Amino acid sequence: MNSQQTPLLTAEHLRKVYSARFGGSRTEALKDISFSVSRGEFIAVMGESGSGKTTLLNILAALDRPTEGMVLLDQQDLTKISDALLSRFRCENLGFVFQDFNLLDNFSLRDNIYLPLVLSDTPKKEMDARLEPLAVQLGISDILEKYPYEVSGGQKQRAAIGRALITHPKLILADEPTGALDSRSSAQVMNLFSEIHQNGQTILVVTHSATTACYAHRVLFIQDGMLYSQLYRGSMSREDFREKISDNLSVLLQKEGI
Amino acid sequence: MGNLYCKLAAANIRGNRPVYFPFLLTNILSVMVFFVMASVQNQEIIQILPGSYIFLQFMKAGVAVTGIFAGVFLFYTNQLLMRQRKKELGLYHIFGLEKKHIAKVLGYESLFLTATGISAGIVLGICLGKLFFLILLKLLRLDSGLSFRFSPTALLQTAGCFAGIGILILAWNLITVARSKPTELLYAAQKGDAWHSFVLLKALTGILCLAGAYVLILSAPSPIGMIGRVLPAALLILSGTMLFFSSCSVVLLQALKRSDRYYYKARNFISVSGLIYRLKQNARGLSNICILSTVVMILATATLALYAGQQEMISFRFPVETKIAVSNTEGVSQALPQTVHSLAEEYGVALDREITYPVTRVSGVYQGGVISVYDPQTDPTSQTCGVYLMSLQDYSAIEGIGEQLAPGELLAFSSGRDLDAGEIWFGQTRYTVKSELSRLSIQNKSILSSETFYYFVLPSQEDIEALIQTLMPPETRMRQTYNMMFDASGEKEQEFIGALRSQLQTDFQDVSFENAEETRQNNTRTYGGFLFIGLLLSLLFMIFLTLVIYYKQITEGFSDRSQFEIMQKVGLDRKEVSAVVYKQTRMMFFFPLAAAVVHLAVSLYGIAMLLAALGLTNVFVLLLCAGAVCLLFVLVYLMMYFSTARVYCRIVMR
Repeated sequence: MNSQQTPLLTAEHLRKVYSARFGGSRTEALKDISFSVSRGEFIAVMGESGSGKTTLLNILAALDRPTEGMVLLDQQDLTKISDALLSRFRCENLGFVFQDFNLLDNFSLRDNIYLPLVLSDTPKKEMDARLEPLAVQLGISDILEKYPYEVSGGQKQRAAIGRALITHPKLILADEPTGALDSRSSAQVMNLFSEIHQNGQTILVVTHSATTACYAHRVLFIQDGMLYSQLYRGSMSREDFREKISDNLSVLLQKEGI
Repeated sequence: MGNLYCKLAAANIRGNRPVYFPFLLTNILSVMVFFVMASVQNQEIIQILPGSYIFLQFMKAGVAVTGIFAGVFLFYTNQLLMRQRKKELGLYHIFGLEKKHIAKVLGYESLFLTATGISAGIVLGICLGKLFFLILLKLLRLDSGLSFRFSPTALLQTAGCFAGIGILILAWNLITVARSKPTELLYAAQKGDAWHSFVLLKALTGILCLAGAYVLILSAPSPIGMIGRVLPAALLILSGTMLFFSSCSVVLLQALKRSDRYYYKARNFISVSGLIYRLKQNARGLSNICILSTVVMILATATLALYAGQQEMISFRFPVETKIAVSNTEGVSQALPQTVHSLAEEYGVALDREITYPVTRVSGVYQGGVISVYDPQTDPTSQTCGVYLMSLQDYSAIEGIGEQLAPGELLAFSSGRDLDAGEIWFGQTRYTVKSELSRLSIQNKSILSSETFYYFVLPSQEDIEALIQTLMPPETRMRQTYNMMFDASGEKEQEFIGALRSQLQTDFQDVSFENAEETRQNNTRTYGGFLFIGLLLSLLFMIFLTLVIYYKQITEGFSDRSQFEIMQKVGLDRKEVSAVVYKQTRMMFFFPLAAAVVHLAVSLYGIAMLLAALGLTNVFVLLLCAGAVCLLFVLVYLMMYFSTARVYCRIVMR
């Protein structure tokens, strides 16, 4: 079978139950979620807080294991990889972008971006060769030697995106990437994601903001641990798509209200 | 309202347990050591012990040193604590507590800490005081039936000293809070340390200081000359170590960071940048650890060598148990043995290995086969040595062998290194060495000894007289004595020795009376006391050292935790994290240890000199003691390393 035709990521019947430590109450964070992401897709997952989107992301990132179901990344079942190999696997296949950047204060931006490569013992020349075009694209060439506490939030997030991209991951997972940014920086960061996507990168963004989600080409809505609906952008303009997402969200909220 | 502050203070201490507990523990243990020292110093038995004067003086100094260092150290740890708590205090401020309220909270806290420290420390001191007192009695070879008495004076001294320290610390904290702005309190400790300025200058000064100290120690001309150099050398080592660590760590890390091949390796990457991030704090921690380690090792080595060396010294100085020397006047050669024998009979003591002989002693200088009289005015640098002249007849009587000497020939003996000279010049008079004696009944030989006695056996008494004529030593630099040596044995030996001493002092002139047992007892009192003080102070510094290391790991653990969380998210697995942790702590740990061992090794030369000034000349004993102390210290240090690395790991991985 041609690998181009199989989806990059497949989640099948994911269920996650958290039980309190002394066996008391059990919370079903995910009930039954199935979806797939094709290669080169830019997808957003939306939901209110408590909807289970963070749990979903953690499972997709192999930071957490589902109670039932499986996650296939490039036909490999994440839930079956042993703990010992998991870090390596994450490092090689996934790139992460976080809401609070998670840059290390004791490294310059350059070294922060190099971090995953250094951990896999990549030669310095190779790292330099990868970073140079990337830094230009991210617009951070001039501030590579600065430390995180010396630059703005938007610059931090761009550096963090650089760190996610430098390993050439199969999939980028972004958790509220604009959550800590002002609107101008948010727009810059999301435009950057669009650009990267145009270069063929598969991206999955988790967010609760329609403004952020409208950059994606497909939006999944989850509520109460279930996949509620999904929207395709198609040929819509970003503005129109944003409105459609907002409408969908208000429908969702109304349902909740009743 | 006051109750609220009290509760808040109690809650603070409970909430900050991991940082407060060791602080409190150090407080308690310092109080304990201080109290034990003060109590021992105030024990009646110690104060009336004959020959304990020097010990008492040193004990007083020890108490003072303990107080001062405990103060300095508690002050320093308090600063670490305050840095940790700045954010919390800033929050109080924002929640509406005024500075004076914060001051009240701090007041209650320090009241609680100081009171607990003093009372728990004293209780512990009373319990352990007995044990320490027993150890002291054992070291002094005293009757262990003596009991340790609680000393109210010591209690007052201890309470006063530590209450004073507590008040000083509180005052400092209040000033810090009064001066600070709330925003500063809130956002303290986020940025990395900046590179120091003048790094190279500092590095150079540090190395120069250390080199200077080493040269000062290694070039000491004589044991007496060393005494004056102790303080400057110690100060140079202290400042040199501080400068060295604060600058050289920077230079080293900068170099490491610049080397792409080293820096961009998974393990080095994280540890080097982590070390750079907390540069100042690290440098301070490293130099503190190094200095404390050095102090502990030197203190323990010196006092242990003193104690262990005395036995060795006595066997060198006493080939025979009792040595008597009196002025060689008319008829003394009959009178002295007579007095000794009649007294021995009276006490029922048997005498063994009896030797009597006349000898002429000149305090001279021996240099390359030439003997001259020591003259401090023309030659202040040379070391004096005892030059003993005796006639062949007397020598033959001592050794019981018939030896022949032609005119102009002599037999030579050195208590230290062999002379290896074919001829000896006494001023203008030349003698040929017929043979060099390898042993002499009246003087032991030890190559390691730094004080040397030379014995020359001349053909006749007339030769000696003639030599004295040519050398012309002044009255004070020459002494003609009649000597007697023997081992006494019998039930009333002690009494016999005592009676003989006083009898001789009334009957003869210029009596020198030495008894091995008496000397041993005296030395034991002094050196046993030294060892005791050395042990207590080493213990104290060891406690401080542990605390410094523990704090270092804890504070760094907390600030590293978020870093390691991020790294785990980015793809570092737990195993790699712990490998990095061990790498980082290992670098932190072994750098100062290595420096401390080098300090110790160089200081050994100085210690050997100082011990020689006290008459302890066996270098082998010193090396053995240093080796034992070093080994023990490294073991304890390793234990601290593993346990604190575990604490750090636990904090980081939580």
